[in-house]
Amino acid sequence: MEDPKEAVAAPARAAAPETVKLRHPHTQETVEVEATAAALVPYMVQGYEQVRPENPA
Amino acid sequence: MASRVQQLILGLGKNKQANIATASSSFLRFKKLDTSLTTPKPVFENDAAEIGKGHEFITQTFPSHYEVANRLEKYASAEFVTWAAAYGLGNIVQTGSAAPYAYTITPLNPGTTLELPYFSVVEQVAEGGGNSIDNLYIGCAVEDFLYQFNYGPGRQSSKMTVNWVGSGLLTTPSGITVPALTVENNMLAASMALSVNGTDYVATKRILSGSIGWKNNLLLNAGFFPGSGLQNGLQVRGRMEIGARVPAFQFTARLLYGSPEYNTLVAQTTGTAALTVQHDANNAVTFTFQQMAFQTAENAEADGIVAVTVTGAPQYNATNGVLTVTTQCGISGIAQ
Repeated sequence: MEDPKEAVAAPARAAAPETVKLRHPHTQETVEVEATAAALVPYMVQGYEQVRPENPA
Repeated sequence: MASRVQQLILGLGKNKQANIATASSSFLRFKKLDTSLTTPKPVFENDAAEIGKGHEFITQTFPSHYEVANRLEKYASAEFVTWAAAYGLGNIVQTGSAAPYAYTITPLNPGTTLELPYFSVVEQVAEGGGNSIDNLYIGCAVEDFLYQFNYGPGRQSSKMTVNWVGSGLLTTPSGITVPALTVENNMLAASMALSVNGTDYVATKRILSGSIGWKNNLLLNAGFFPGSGLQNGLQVRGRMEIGARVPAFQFTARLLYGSPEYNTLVAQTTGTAALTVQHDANNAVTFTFQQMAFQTAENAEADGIVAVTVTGAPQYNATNGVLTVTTQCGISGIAQ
C-alpha cells in the first residue's frame, strides 16, 4: 500500500512545455523556443524555420 | 455517356514538394463549391502581325508556354484554412505529437527566400470506364487567399477562397490514387471572436461581415527564365516568386452611438486585430494582424440597419511582422 506521507512528499512533476527548434537558413544559427505563437513568431518573422527531419540541425 | 461535375475528385498536395518539378507524395481530398475545372492551357503565338507576308492573316503558329491556374472556393474548415494559410504565407511551424496538431504560420521573410512552398493538384473525373480528366499539376503556388465571414445561418457564414497558379508542369494520366475525402471540421461564424484595436465586436453584437485576405502577386513572367524548361515544346515556369504582397482586412459592423471607428480612423490609432473561428477546441483558426490602423470607415447599411464598413491598413510590426495565422486541426504534415 502506498505510504500517504510519501505521496504527499513527492513533488508533482509538471509537464515540460513543448519546445521547437528553429534555424535561420542563412546564418544556420539555431534556437529552441517554447511552442507558443508568442515565442515562435518573432523568430519566424526574421526567417527562422522549423528544423525538420529533412533539414536536420 | 458523359460525366457530371460532382464526380470531380480533387486532391491537393499535403506535403510540400521537394522542388518545383517534383510532385507532392501525399494528398488531401477536398470538396469545393465552385464548379471550375482546371485546364492546362498551351499558349501559341502566330505571325498575323508580322509584315512581309503580303497579307494580314496567320500563316504559322509557334509554341509559347503553358498557363495553369484555378480557384478553390470552400466552406472554411480548420483543415482547409490551415492548408491555404500554410501554402499562402510560407513559413510554417507544426507542433504536437498527436492530434490536434498546432500550426503557427507567418509570411515568408523575403530576406531568406522568395519562393513559397510548392504543392501539386490532382483532378480526376470518371467517365465511360476511364477518366475524362486525369491531370496532375506539379509546382503550384498560392496567389491569394480570402477568408470571408457573414451573418446568417449555416456554412455560408464562413468561407475560404484560394486562387492558385501552376508552373505548367503536367502529368497525364496523373497516376495518383487520391485518398478518401478529408473529414473537415467547418467553423461557423457563430463561433467567432473578433477584437480590433481594442474593441470587442462580438461582445457588443455589432459585427456583421468581413474578410481577411492575402495576395502574393506572384512574379509569373519571371518564372519563364532562360533555362526554365520545356514541356511538349512549350515553356514552363522554373520558379514562382512572391511580388509585393498585400494583406487585407475589412469588416462591417452596426453603427452605434459612441462607435469608435471614425475616431480611430482620424487618430490613426494602431492596435492588433484578432479573429478566431472554431469548430471545437481542437479545430480552430486565429488570424492576427499584429499592428493595424484604419484606412477608411464608411457609413453603410445592412438589411436596413445603419452600419459602418471599415477597411484596415495592416502594418508591419518590428517584432511580430504583419500577419500570423495559428490553427489547430487533426491533420499532421501540411506543407511540411
